[in-house]
Amino acid sequence: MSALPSRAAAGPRGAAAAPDSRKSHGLQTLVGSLQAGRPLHVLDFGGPVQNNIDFITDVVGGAGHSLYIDHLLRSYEYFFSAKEQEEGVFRPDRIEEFVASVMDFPDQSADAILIWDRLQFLPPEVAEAIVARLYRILASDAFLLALFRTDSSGADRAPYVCRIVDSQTLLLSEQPPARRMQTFNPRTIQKLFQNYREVKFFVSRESLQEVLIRR
Amino acid sequence: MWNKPKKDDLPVRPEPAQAAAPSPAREAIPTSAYPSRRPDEAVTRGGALIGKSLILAGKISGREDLVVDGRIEGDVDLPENKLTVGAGGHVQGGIRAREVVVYGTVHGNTEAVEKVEIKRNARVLGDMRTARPVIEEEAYFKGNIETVRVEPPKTAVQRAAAPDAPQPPALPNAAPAQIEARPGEPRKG
Repeated sequence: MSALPSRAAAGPRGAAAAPDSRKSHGLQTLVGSLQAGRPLHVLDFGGPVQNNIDFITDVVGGAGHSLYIDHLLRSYEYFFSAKEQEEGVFRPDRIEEFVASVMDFPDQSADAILIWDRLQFLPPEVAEAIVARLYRILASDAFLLALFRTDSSGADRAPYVCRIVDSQTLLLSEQPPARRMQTFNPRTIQKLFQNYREVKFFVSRESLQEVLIRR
Repeated sequence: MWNKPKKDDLPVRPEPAQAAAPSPAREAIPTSAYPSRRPDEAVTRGGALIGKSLILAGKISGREDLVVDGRIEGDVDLPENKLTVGAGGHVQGGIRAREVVVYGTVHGNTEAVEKVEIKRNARVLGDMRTARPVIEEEAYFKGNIETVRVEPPKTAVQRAAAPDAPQPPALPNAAPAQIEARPGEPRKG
């Protein structure tokens, strides 16, 4: 059982917390940063999840606000050939092309970015290029939320579907198929986001590291 | 499950004399203004169909519901009606409609006053502007979502002004949108 029972998981009938429901301080901080009186632009690279669409469009609801959605892993698999993926060899120009195709946004135009655990399922050079592009896209002082599994078994894992239950609660469930997963530790995460102003780690359970990055 | 609402549906749309007919006759009433029970009914009785083998290049505009099972290369403009892109359907162009449901593929921006629904296995690349975005998780969607507030339908005023006027079956606002929309979700799950 969770040491941090969530409000949402308790539900109206006070039912026990779902096993994959967890409190997210990173999300809470990110959502808190969105309460601004101007048009906001949020990017979600976890793919379409109705909870998230409802939540974010509600939070940033109103004329001029928008939520951009893409499933980064599916876009990656769609863009790169099976051979490239199998061999794990990616030409720099192909990476550049891919990054430009999935992240064609003006500099500093995003008020928040949800990348979830997607970076961990991309080849290192692609992940690095993505992070570099996100740095350009993210507005100054804005946040990026990422999840990293600290499991170093080297086994393939299914990425998470991350559902926002409320401003501080996430519901995570694995979404097959399993994919090759890069191993990260706090040091490699720090290095990955070295250009960013701040990298904040939140202690989480089940070998999951929640990381909030400030541009 | 749908039989229950069927009873409730009937009083919603006042029918002059025929409404009092016995139930078998009710089933026989042309159902173009009624919610369709199945997609093929919607096609044959309630709107137009672009069949699987058809390829259309150019703009489409009109005042009736449309189901696309073929391919459209151009904009679709049905501001008061519902557009359904079937599982094999493909729209390459902008869409403006009252409601849009996608089972197939759309490459272009979509604008719907009421709702855009992207079903599992659908593929949509383009921005979306609607009051109610609904995207199933198995769907592939890549684009911007901008939610908009629904303005009161202008036709409501028209309806109030002329309540006794004959109601053409295909008018989108002749019946509450929800009644029309719900049974249009036959392939759910």
